[in-house]
Amino acid sequence: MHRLPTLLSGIFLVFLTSWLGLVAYPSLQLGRLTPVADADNGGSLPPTYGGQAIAGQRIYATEGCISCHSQQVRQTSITTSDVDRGWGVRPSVARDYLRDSTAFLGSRRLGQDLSNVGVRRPDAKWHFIHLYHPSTVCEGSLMPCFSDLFLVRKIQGQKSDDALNLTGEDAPKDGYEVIPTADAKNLVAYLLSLRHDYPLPEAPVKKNGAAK
Amino acid sequence: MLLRTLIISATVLWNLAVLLGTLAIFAGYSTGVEWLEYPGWASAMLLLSFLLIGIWAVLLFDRRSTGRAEVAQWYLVAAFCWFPWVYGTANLLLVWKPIQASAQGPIQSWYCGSLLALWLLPVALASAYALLPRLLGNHLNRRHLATLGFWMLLLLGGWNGMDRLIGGPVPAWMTSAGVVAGVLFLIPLFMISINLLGMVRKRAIVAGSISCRFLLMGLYALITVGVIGAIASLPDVSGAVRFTAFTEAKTQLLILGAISLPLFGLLYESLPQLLGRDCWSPVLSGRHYILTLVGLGMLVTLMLLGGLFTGLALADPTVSFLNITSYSYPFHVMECVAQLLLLIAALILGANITIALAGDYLLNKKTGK
Amino acid sequence: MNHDHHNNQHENGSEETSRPLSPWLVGAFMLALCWGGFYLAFNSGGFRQDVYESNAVNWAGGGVAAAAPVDPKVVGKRLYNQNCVVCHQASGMGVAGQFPPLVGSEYVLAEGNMGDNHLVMLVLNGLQGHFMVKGQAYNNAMVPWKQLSDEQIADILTYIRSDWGNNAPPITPDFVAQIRKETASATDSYTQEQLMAMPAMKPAASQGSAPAKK
Repeated sequence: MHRLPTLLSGIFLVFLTSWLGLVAYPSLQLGRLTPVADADNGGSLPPTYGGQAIAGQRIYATEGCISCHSQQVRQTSITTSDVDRGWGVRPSVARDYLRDSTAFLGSRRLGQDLSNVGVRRPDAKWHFIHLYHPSTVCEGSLMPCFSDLFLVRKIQGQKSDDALNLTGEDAPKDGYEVIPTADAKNLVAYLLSLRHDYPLPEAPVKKNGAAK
Repeated sequence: MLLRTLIISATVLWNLAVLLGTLAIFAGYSTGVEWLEYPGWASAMLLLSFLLIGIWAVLLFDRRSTGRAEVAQWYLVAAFCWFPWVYGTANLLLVWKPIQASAQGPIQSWYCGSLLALWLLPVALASAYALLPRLLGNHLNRRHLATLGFWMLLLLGGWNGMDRLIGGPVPAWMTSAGVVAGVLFLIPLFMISINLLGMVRKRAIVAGSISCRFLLMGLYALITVGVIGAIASLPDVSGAVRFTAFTEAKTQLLILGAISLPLFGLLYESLPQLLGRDCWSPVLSGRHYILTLVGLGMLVTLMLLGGLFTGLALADPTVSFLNITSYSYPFHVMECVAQLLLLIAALILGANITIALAGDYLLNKKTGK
Repeated sequence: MNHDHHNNQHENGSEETSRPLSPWLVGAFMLALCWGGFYLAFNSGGFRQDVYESNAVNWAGGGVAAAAPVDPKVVGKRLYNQNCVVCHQASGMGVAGQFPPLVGSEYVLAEGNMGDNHLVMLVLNGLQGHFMVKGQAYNNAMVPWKQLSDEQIADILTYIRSDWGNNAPPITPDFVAQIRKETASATDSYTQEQLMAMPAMKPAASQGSAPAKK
């Protein structure tokens, strides 16, 4: 204990325990999980992301969404409130994050959990308005406005299809429209693809409201 | 000469990496991994700088070793061994060459737990073990406690990070490991604190030395962290309060209390020694001390209370989320006030250091050094 | 622990007394370790990689822990609070003369001439004009709620059928889906006459029998 070599080897061995359990084991086991076949629709589960959604993950990372939002539905043996709240039909498991480049698990819920937001809010237009000015669609929301993901520009000819349908104080000046940038579209595509509602071998989905 | 070059270049590189990494986050290059948001190149710079510091430390240790390692030295050796291992592994697997995301959760939690409990905390504890005997004019009276505390801290520190993933998308045994590690983590923290607090004999010494006061307050914070962590790791409690300010309060108390306060104590003790004279302004030092304690106490209390109420509301699925948001808003405002107090305290410390160093500079100029 | 007087003997700084640890401390320490061991043993799902619920102990290595089923009434209550409470109130009593009560309502309980299908239809497509509930006359409009999913509507209806003293069988999402499909051509809210023109359906008898077309 008093000499450096003893101390160093002791330290190394003790560190090794947590490294083995929390780094080596996940890398070798969880890190080698493969998709499973989707019996109902062909294809595989978890479903693959489209190109826009993959780009959207980068926007999610750089905009710092993880500092307020989580993306995990907790196991019901710890708490049933995540599932009861409608944030998911089943708890999330490791395989759900297979297709992500970064697992945005999150550690604060200043905003709602997003792991199934593609199921809860399937409307892209809602998401655009929400990102532009959250308290318009969610009164009392503390989420900051991500207006830098949008462009306010003069209407050229006809109003663009993408233009946000804003009313009241949010609406731009006459003759101007608010359109989402490519970043906004990618981010929303990513959000719409977030769903953990398919069954997996380790995470079956029970249909609720079963008949008497 | 080699030692000086090493440590100065390491310091410059470290500060440069921090500056550039922070600017990169603002510019939109954050990695999105919690506590590893610096882009890959910035963390590589940090790691390189640390390797230089590590080499410097090993050389220093080698040259001045008395043959028997003191408790403070155990902690420093452990911290220096651990940081490159943990930081390098975490960056490699999460940022530089990310592995499949299904495995990233436990690794990221391990990193967060290890960073605090096995890198920053040992450095702070090393300052406590090094300084308190000297300041209090006493000896460590229970070496067994120190040994046991040291090894248990090392054993549980990495596992303690799993309390961030209790109930998360990881196999059940990892959740249970997080619960057990979180609760048992109280033991080494308790042992270390009573080991050091047991050295206090005369209150007068404590009252007279500001670094002593900082060190002891840091130890009280450490016990509190252990208690909060143990409570927050229990499965039912975690089910309610995880993701709220309650668990964040533990992290903040650990960083701002158990780690920062002893390091402030170290600063207040070592700068006069470096400059060879008594350089601190007593008024500013006193203000810094009070404001830090008040700000920290306020912040942690508010976060614990606010987090508890928020967590209980979140656990009831009939309460809508926006209701919870508006309910917790006053807590956020007050936490902001507490953070402002801490900011003012930090500015006071900055002013104190500037005056001390400026005074030193002017003094040297006058004496023609 | 603070009262030791042995310390002053050792002045040379390189010796620290090594008094044995207090037995209370050791005892508490051992107890904590025991607790930790037992907790890990019984809550780790057999240390299997595919078991995520910590209350499943599969020592035999068989089967996979299933997620606990969600109680539709809890979800339904939350959805009710978000969508219906504005008019029908948290007590289910509505507002006299304006919004009908759900407590003891024949629409909700499918009593008399009312069937489960009537309840689902009016939630999906709305109700307007004069109508009677529990002998009281109302003249109001209920907006259609077809934007909610089958599961959500089924949960809400199951909830209102089970609270405030109501006691009626739950509504299944499949039944809501069936009614939605059959009434897909409805463009306007029903009046009470139109609703009652369709034969009542109780789910047990509904398999295979088609209601009158609107």
